Amino acid sequence: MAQIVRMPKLGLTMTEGTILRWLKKEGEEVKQGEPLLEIETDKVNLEEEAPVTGILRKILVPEGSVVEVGKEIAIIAEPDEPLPELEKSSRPNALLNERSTVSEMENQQVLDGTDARDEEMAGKIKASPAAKRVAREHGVDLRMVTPTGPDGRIVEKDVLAFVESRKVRATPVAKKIAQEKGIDLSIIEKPEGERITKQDVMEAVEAASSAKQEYSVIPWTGMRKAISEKMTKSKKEIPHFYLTLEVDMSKVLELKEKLAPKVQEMSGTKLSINDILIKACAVALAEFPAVNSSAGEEGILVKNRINIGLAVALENGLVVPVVRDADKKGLARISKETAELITKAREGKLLPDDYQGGTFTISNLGMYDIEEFSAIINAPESAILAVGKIMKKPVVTEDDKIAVRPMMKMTLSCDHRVIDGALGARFLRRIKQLLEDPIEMLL
Amino acid sequence: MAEKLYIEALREGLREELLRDEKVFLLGEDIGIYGGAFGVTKGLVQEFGEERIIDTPISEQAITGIAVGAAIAGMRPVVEIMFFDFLTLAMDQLVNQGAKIRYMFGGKAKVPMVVRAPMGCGTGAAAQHSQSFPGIFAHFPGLKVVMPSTPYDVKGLIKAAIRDDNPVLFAEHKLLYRVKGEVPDEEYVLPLGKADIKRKGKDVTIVAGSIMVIRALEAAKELEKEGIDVEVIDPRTLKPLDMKTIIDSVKKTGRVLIVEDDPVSFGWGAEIAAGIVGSEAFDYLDAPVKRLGGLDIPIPYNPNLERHAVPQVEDIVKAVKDLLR
Amino acid sequence: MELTAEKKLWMYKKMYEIRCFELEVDKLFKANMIWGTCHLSVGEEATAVGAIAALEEGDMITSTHRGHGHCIAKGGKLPQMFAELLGKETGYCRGRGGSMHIADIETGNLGANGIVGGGIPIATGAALASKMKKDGKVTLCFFGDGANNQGVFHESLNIASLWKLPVVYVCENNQYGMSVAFKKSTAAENVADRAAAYNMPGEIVDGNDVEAVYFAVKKAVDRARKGEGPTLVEAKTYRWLGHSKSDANLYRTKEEIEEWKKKCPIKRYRAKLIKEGVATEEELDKIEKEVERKIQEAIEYAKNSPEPSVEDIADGVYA
Repeated sequence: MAQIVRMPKLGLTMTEGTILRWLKKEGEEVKQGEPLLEIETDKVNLEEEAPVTGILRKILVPEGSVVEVGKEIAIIAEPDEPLPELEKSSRPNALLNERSTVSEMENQQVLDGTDARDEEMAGKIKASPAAKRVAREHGVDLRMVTPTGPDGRIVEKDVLAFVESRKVRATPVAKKIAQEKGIDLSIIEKPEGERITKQDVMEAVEAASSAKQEYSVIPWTGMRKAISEKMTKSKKEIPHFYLTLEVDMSKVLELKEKLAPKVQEMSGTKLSINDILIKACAVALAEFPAVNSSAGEEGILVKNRINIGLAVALENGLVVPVVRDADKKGLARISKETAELITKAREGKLLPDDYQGGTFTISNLGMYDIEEFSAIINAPESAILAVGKIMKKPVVTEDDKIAVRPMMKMTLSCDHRVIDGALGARFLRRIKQLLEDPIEMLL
Repeated sequence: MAEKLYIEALREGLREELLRDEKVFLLGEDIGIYGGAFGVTKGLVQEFGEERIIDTPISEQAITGIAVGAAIAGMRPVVEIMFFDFLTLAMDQLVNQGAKIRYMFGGKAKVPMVVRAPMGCGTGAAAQHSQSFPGIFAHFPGLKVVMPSTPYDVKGLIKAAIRDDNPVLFAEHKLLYRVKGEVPDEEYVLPLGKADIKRKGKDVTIVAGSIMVIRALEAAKELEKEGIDVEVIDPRTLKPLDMKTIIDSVKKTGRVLIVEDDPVSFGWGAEIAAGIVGSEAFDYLDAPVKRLGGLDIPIPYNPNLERHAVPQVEDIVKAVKDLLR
Repeated sequence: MELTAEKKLWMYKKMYEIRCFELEVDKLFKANMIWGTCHLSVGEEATAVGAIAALEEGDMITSTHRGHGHCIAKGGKLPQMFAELLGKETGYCRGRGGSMHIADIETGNLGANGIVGGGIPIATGAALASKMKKDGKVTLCFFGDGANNQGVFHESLNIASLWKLPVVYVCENNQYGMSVAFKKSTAAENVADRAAAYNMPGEIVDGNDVEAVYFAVKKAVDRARKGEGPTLVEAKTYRWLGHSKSDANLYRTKEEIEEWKKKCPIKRYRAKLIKEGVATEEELDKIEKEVERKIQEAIEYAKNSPEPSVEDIADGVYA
């Protein structure tokens, strides 16, 4: 008994499918459950199995066509069985108004000569000789080409259009959706030989719409613009290298404990680790003037003053106020100045003098639980010290015992044009020494 | 270069050949003092005398046969048959004798003669004085068939026809006699068997002959306003037929309309269509080959009916649009 | 007007040549060596020879479908004629024409013609050419009694007379247009009577009397050459054999044929020549033997000639 194969519904939302490939030819035998054709839905590509065993007598819809769910696409029947009459309009896109069952169709199976001829003709593709020639030249399967000529004839320009469209290989549905949604198919990447599917296009459509809501634009103005330009220039122009070591901060913390009340008394501010770091760096820089320098056009400019900048985070950026002549100032003074500068910075009241003329910078992100990081040199300076969080860690002491100590990692970024590795290392080690034995720097 | 009427250019061609070669003579009904039914030979008898511009009795077959005999005997007669329709009276002498003699005689005779005849409707002359059927003569081996469409062509081709050593049927459309065109002052002869591209275009080829060339060119002008670029090819001679020019054009445009004044059934348009389809142009066709020609009716008398009997400019415009649909 | 002995013997020889030629053709046809039909002029030799004997060299003739005799009399070469009938490349028409289209333009034979009356305007045209060229040539136009009812016969005679063309129309009235007797086809008593309608002389002559034909045509040729216009000469004769090779002679009686055979133009002339002492039996036998030998040679030539090449099939359609 003849069985009409219809476009199956392969998902809840599926309304139509594209016939990608017929896996059997007309006249070939098919067994029930054997893959019969490959269908592309809006979600997946699936192989559809033959519903019955028999001969694939008629393929009603060529490859590449989009077919409504439920529409007849093939007939499987016995070799000599008369084929059932199909609805007059057997064009792939035509909607099936009524779902007639196979048995209903058999009731009206009158197959006169005219219909047989029509079916034969339906199998033939109407194309102009020129269209056929161009198809031949470009290896185009005319069944894939949409006709625009009179009476459904494929004309030369249809094939040329297809050839053009094939440069981006996409299924007809995909192309249709892409056209509707204004998606340029060439932006969708697919492996060689694979066609862009409806799904790919839908993803591209979503990506395009969400991408639009993902950001709001902050114009490149003011501080942002300055930071952007300065950092880009610095990272681009300065050959950075980085040195990291860990410091036992036990003694610094002890010192801070001891001196904090005095500093409070003297300057009215709370002594911070940063103040001590500034002092330590200033002392070390005094000892290593080559680090307190900048790369100039004619050579290395060794600075006479030691002005330490401290990176201060603001809501929308950062500033680096400068403690001038830090090497010549005591901790109380440094603490006072730092506090004032930070306040001014947060209130947006820094004056150019407050942030210009730095010769070295410290950036501390320990308060954000950062253990270690590398900073970008604050040009035209030659080095910057990136400071992490002080963390209690088990360490092996000099007498080979395990002890818990407050440890802190520091990373020095150096401008290699000015500072070589050994110099940087000695300088950083000197800071470490000063922090591990801070009394010295107070001398 | 001067602008001349087709009829003047034709007369000039005849005159130049009469002057050039004393073997050339004209014979026909009322071609002497009357100047021919349409005035083509006007003035020639005065210049060349009754011995070379010969008024004949109304005996088409004898006139044509006399031309055959004179041609075999070394003359170059040019016969005027008053109306193309009357060629049926001369058929034996034209196609059984004139056309076949050379071959029958094993290539040992020459029949250098021209039979001129005005054809076509548009003058209210009805069925027996209006038909165009040069196509059937192209069916006869041994004849050449020429149907010039412009003053330039008619002069160059009548001279070529007279100089040709074969019987040549020279089909003149009556409505062309009053068509004007540029004709060079210096002498020239056009080759038989060379089509002419009357207008270059890229969208569609019109192959038109005789009066239909003029109508095709007018149609092309109309179509140009709509952005349709028409190429008009005039075969000029049906035999020999220059298929190459036609094929090259069709290969370029992919679409072809053939327009003839002959009744369309079994007309020369079918020959050209078959020539196109059977050539390498087939693979360049982007639409079916289309033909326009006279209806399969004798030409009617009533002017409106007469107008509808053969293709007009608007029919050509419509047919081209159909092709580009 | 006197005929020389030489001319008389020439006429006898030519008539005998025609007779032999036609009878050999008949044999060759029966031997299936001739592909197409042939119209034989056995019995009519005197009209062809007598008429052509009246022409000068360079004069022209147009012939008919029954044209072998005209061609031979006009100087046609027997080998090329046989070769043509056998369809050979060496034939007059390279095997393209066959019996009905033998032409030899060089000798002034403008060709046999397959169309009854077809040659009449052609001869008229050739005469017009002569008149225009003033070359002094006369064209002799053969046609049968059947052709005198074709329109073009009347058209042409009218024009020729009107324009005083140097043409002589010789009607070989062999009594039958194929099967239809002259009396059944022609309203006039004689073809020659029709000359009156075109204001030209109409002469009736015994077509089986070669000298009578000669004298009648000679008069007409002279008149034509003098620019006095055409003459219509009707030579009454008879065709012994069928119209063509497929004629069962159902339209006439054996007696009638036998009656005409008694008037054989060759026998008659042989007797006359002997009686007049122009030649002896032996001399005429010698001529006949010579003719027979030449005929056989010609047949051999034709048989041994090559077939035309199919590659050249289109040769000669156009000049």
